[in-house]
Amino acid sequence: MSQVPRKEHHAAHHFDDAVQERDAALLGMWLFIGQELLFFGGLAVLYIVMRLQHPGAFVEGSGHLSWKLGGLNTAFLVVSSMTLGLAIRSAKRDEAGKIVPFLGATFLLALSFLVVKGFEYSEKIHHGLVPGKWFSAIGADPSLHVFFGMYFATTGLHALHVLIGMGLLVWLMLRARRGHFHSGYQTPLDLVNLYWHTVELIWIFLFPALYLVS
Amino acid sequence: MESVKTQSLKYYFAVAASILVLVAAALAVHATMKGPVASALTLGLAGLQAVVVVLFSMGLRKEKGFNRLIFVASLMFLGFFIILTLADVLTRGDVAKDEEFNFSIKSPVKPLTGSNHTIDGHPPRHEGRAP
Repeated sequence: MSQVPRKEHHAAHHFDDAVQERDAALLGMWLFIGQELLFFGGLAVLYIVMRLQHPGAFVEGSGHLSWKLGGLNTAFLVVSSMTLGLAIRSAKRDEAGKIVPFLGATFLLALSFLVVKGFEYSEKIHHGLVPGKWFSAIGADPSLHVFFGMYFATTGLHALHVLIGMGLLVWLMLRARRGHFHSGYQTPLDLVNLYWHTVELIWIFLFPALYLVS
Repeated sequence: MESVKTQSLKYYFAVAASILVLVAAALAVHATMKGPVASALTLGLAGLQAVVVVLFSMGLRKEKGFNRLIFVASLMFLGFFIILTLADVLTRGDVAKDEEFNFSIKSPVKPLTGSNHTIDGHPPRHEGRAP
């Protein structure tokens, strides 16, 4: 069915078997996800405090953001998560020829997310909405810069996570081309899948918190 | 080698579609309602999307008990973090009446022209001391 040569996986010597290796990898990934939630949790707490102290700035600042572009980016991430899931499904079904196309689609959707984000950032920079010495916007609320401080800090960190995810997707594509993933071994795919869903999860909250404030 | 058991294609489409429907619902709320209730609803819908992602895309419902515990414990610590911070911030006015004057980071939004900018039209306080 497929032209990709299958490469068998052998568990590392310090594991009893492949099942123990996979369990250890998943345990590590869930611990990483837990710390990611707490890492972004710090920003979430900061957001709550700032929004309570400067409610007007958040309403006005949100009005400067395009919910259409934010919604489009949400759709990109949701569909990219689906295509990544389909890549794992293909590996489990030994449909090796479909893994790279699904991973490629995921990569392109992630790239689209960053391109849209780039357009948004460029508009904000052009309008003098970058906090610090670059901030030159005249807003109705005197604390508008607080909102944009939150906007750039949270979306910037999230975009960095997307960029890291794209690097991981390239790594997966290279390995998939060499036949590393099949019904007997998909652990790296599963781990990146969990990471990518965490990135999606964070955006799911950033979108209403920044773009849909009223 | 035989393939391992997988979900149907419909499963993946249904999960993605349900999240997108919830996103559309949040957008509809934003378009039709205003005020804190609208914000609470959009964040509530985001919570529902997160539940779908965690349970069905990340597969937490089928994970080992200890991995589930790690995730739930992280959420609990995040909850403690938020509650303790709010307990501090929302009751500060009861402790120090002039705290807003001393620690407010509000400043007028205006173009910065040179280095003599002031806060609220007043010269910087505590001159000669580190901020």
